[in-house]
Amino acid sequence: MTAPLDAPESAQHAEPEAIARGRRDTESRSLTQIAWRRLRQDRVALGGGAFVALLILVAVFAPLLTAWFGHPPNQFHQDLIDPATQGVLKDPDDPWSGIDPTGGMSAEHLLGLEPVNGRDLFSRIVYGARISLLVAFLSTLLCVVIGTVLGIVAGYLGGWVDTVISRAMDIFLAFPLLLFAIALAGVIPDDAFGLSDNALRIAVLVFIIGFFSWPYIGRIVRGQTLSLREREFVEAARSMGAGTGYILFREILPNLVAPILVYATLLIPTNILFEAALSFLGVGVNPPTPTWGGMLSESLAYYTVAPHFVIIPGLAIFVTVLAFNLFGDGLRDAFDPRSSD
Amino acid sequence: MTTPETGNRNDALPVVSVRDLSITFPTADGDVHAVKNLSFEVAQGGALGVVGESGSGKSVTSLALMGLHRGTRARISGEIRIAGTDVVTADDRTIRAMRGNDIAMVFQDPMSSLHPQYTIGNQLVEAYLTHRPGAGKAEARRRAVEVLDRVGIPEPARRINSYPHEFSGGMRQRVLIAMGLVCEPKVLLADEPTTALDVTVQAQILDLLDELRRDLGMALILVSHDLAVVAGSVDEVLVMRKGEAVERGDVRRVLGSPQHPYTRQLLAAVPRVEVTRAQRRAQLRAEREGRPVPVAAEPPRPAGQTGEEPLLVVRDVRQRFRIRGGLFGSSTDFYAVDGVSFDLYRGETLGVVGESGSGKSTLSRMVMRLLEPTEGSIVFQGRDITHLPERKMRPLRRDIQMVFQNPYSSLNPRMTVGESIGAPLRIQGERNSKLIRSRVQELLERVGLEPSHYNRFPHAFSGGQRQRIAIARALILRPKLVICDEPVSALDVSTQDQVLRLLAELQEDFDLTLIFVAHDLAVVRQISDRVLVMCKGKIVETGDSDEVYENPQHPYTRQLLAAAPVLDPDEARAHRAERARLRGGQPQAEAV
Repeated sequence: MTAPLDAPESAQHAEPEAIARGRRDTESRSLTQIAWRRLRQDRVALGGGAFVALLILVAVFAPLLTAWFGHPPNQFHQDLIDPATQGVLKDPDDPWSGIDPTGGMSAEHLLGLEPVNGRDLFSRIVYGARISLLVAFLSTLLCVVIGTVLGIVAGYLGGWVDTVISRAMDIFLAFPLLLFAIALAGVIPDDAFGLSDNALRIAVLVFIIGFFSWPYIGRIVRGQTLSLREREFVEAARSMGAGTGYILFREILPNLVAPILVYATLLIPTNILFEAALSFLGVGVNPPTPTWGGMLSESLAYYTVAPHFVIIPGLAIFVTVLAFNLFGDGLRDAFDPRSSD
Repeated sequence: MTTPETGNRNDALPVVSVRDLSITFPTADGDVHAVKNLSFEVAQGGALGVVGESGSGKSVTSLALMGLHRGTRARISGEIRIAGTDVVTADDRTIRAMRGNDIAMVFQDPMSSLHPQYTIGNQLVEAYLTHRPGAGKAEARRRAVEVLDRVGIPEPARRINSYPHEFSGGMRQRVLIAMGLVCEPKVLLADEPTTALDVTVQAQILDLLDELRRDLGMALILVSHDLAVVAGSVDEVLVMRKGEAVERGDVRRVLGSPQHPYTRQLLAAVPRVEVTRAQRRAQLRAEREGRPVPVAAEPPRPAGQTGEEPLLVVRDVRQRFRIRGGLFGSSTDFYAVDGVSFDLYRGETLGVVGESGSGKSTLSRMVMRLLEPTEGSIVFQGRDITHLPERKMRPLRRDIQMVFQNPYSSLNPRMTVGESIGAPLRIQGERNSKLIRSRVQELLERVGLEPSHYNRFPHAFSGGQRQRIAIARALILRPKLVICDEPVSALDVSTQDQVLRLLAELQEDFDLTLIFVAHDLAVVRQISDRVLVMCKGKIVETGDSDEVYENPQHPYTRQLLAAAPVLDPDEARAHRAERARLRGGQPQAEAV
């Protein structure tokens, strides 16, 4: 091959001028279009993407969905609960019928009921998706913004700026985050910064997760910027008289969109897990608002009488994380074909 | 084992024979026929040059000869026989035994073909043991030292323990050749072995390949985009275009009286060091106006003798780089450019020649003020810009622009071509997008591209087209001085010629002053009025371009000239002898 190794794939098979000149304009594609074309051929990634899209729809339309089934997430169905064991009754009309091993799954209650007070699990999972996704998306956004800005500045300017930012990244990564989060949960007031109750709790979750995970994105962006900085188009921009701001945000940033998008997609499932972990530890939103992690935490006390109560939120977390990861992997392969084959 | 004569070998059986070879790659846009019905033979100890521009299928063919298309989606039909083995149908074990023992390959990029974590000795020993499973370690090591010595690595017994990064590019290419030789193959396949190297190093590697072929009686297949590179080293030439053989025959016949128009076109594109600037200019002008080429060349224009003010005055500039030292951070200074002075007059072209590391790129970046000179002064249009802050420099940037070396990295892949070309106007404060668009389209047309390509992205263009785009970008501000830093060194010979013609035309139309930096002497001669020869940061020779070429004063210049590839096979061999003579005068260690 005569083409340099860093050239995009298509350049390595560059045709002689005559052929390329004769090609029609309609065949011109941006790199994003090429990536999209590759992504469409990746069934696994598309499956993941479809699930993610479905999940987002479910979360957005949660009130409609639960209204359709007629069970608000916090409605009690104590008549269906066995008062002795707190499990779900096999036959609602017969208080002595014993525990239903499926947890009361039926056409009426798709995923069964919670033990103790008999709330509809499907509704709670659907509402739990709202919190999980909201926190994961917002905290990822926070990560991306902080990480991109600091990473690009550190990578491009170098010198002492790079040293300061890179050491800051080290410190943030070494921070005992979980302990900090648990300690913080104990001292969160009922309202602060004009926010109260759940809004404040969500804000705290987003802040904790986003503010302490930015170095992951920051390091990737810094590394990419270091190599982009050496490309001749940056020198070309300087030779036209472009200022630092122009070079950073008009020349370099567009080249970082693909890696940032990919790592953001892979960071979302991590943040979903993080949120679940924090909710599990009781740092998350206040009951009775449902969250997947919170449900998992509650379920442990009843795993003998209601095993489905453990499995279903666990499965929700697992499938969501898996779907995001598959989609993210597919996205990465689509943008950088060399990583896959 | 010596076979001193290259002439008649028709009695020998061909060691490589390819018949009706076709290679097809299925892609999303349909099948790509990379090679179509290719046939050729190479006799034992013979040498074949495969020449073609990128995309002609020459690399695909050499990979197929090694059986490296196995396990890919490529569809191969036809027959490839190497020393009796049918590469297309043989099983994997046979192919593995064939590689190394019968045919060995030398790749293009010596920087990435060696494993950085192992010593070269380890890699050589491994190569030997893979193909001679019965051999002992000590024997393999002895053999490794032997071949390293053979390819001209000084002190092979000591250097065998070095890592690849401890060698220069030329030395690494020698190591790679040694690796190919370790099992004494019958055929050595060299795919663009010198494209990544300087002229003088290129000459040394070609000399080495030629010498090895003669001494070891090995067949050589030399693949290159440049006819001049193969001219002096092969008996037969195969010219390829779009996957097909266009012409094949004895090297003297093909180069002397080419039959196919494409071969003629390729030959015409090769820059010739013996053609003067004036001749070339006259020829170009005549071609532009459609007149036949006049026999008499017009006199060279007087440069700077009219007493006018020089456009650019460079005085004693030095550029220091600090090389960080060992444990205690004591740094040593390294002067990439060390006391360079020159004047440049309006409308003139100054050629700067030197090998990599000679400081020519650093010099152009200082004039461009991408670097601030450590010492000395740069005066542009009577204004001292040596230490001008970026803010004050900005308006002056309208007048000095640059065309960069690598067309693959000098255009932002995420910007459309139109945006890239228009960027200088936007940066310089132009807000009228309609005006920018029309200026860009005007220039696109001027550099030979379609104005409708405005919204395309750079990856849709070939290297030559990208370089045209880069030239359009440099011209949109209507600069007075354009610095071209190796603008054609990443391009094929034929594309190179087109881009050089374009530059010459534009210089006339836009009344440009050019600084033309290159390592290729022939290219520089054709475009420059005056030449600076740089070596290790200093100017070793300067003068009128014809003077420097016809009557070189400095031994370094003479060495460069002797290394320049020439088209005439007999002259190439004469140059080879001259190089051997020049080399004889200096100690081995200086060979690169």
